[in-house]
Amino acid sequence: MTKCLELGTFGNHPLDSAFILPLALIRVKFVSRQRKTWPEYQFVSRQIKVYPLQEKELIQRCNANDRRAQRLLYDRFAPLLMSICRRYVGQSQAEDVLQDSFVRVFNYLVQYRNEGSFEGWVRRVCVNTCIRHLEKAKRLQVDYKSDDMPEFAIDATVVDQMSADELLGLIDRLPDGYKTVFNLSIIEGYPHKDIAEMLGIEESSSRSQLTKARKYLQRSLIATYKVES
Amino acid sequence: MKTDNPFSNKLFNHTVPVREEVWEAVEKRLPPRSEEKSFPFFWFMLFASTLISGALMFGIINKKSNANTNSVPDPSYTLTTPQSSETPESSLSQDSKSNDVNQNSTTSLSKQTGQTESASSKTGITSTSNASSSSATASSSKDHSSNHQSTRNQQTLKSSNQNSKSTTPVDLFPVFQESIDAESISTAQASQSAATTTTSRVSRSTSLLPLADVELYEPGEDVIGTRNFKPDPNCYKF
Repeated sequence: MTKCLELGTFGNHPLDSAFILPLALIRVKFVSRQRKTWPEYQFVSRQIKVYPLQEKELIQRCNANDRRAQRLLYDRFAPLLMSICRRYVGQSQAEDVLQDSFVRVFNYLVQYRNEGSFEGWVRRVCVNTCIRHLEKAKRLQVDYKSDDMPEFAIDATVVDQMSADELLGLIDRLPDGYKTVFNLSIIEGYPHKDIAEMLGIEESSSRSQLTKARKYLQRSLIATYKVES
Repeated sequence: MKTDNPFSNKLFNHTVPVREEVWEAVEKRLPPRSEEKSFPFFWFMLFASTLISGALMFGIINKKSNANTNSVPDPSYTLTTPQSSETPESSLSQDSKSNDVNQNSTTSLSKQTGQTESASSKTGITSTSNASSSSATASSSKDHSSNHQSTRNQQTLKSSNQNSKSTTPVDLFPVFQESIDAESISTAQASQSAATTTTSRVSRSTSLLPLADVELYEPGEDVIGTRNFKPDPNCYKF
């Protein structure tokens, strides 16, 4: 048969047809290994494109430690959680915190009882992981100094015209304490009561941190982009 | 989530592309994968396809070998019968009529070859034993071989295909014949040494076919020839 393959006469003999199916199967296996993807996974992902898996089924499969389901969950939420981590801890440590977040998501997925949005639950786990990371690194320090600087009124259209990356860059300049409260309150939409519980501070402290964060942003906007108040 | 807050509008659902290495790191930290209970599809398919391929090959090879054996046999193997005067039709009619006819033929043959019949005539199975020690065997085999020598050149297989009167159907079915026993070999050797250069091998037929002796011309080739010899069953119509 090897001679036939070398000479290019494979298929001329009727017995050659007997080799075609096993050879085709071995080729599929070989190619799938080269691509580092399994045919089963390709099949599942294709299936999901046409008939999306129910969230409940996906969670059940993740709880059963099904690696393909876990990968699907990761693919679905990783870009979103990466953005959250980047906002809270910065670009340099975002990937590490993202890893921690997903490990916690998969470990505590059993506790999810289909109450409320699953995406909201995943976001919450990620935010908590970011806060724990900041606490561990002792970066989460509340600034209790009084700030007598006046608050500037900035035209909202200026911020509307800014891109998401520009806004992210603006938030990155905030101190970690301000940044955390700003993210929790303004972007995530948590009330001050919840923020106080999450950070282990008083509600009034959360409010004051937010006010100071706003003033900081206004000043940086005026300085960087030369926005007139 | 659309609000008046431009920060929230732009950053709440903001996504950032993630490198592939992050998943690999996550996967390492996850608990080990449980053993797959599902049957390995690939190996099952490979096994099944190999089986199918094997069966296919076996079928093709068998078909080819059957085609080879069903072809016209080598005319170098010349088969002769002592009952050359009998037509196949007559021999068949004799066989189909009754066992008595068969008995008669066996007795006549035993007379010719000097062999005694020892099988039961009721069943029709004629298994004769060679009289190896008698001197009459040698003389009879002499006569037998001399008789056959005269008809050998005329009764080749080719000629038998053309003129079916000269041979009986049993000549074309040595498959039904019993294997060579030691006595028949010794008889053949005795006859060979005594009379001619040819081997006189007397074989036994079953009850379904008329009795006939089959001789092969060339000594040494008879075993190989008869074992692999499968004549075309369609060359004679019963």
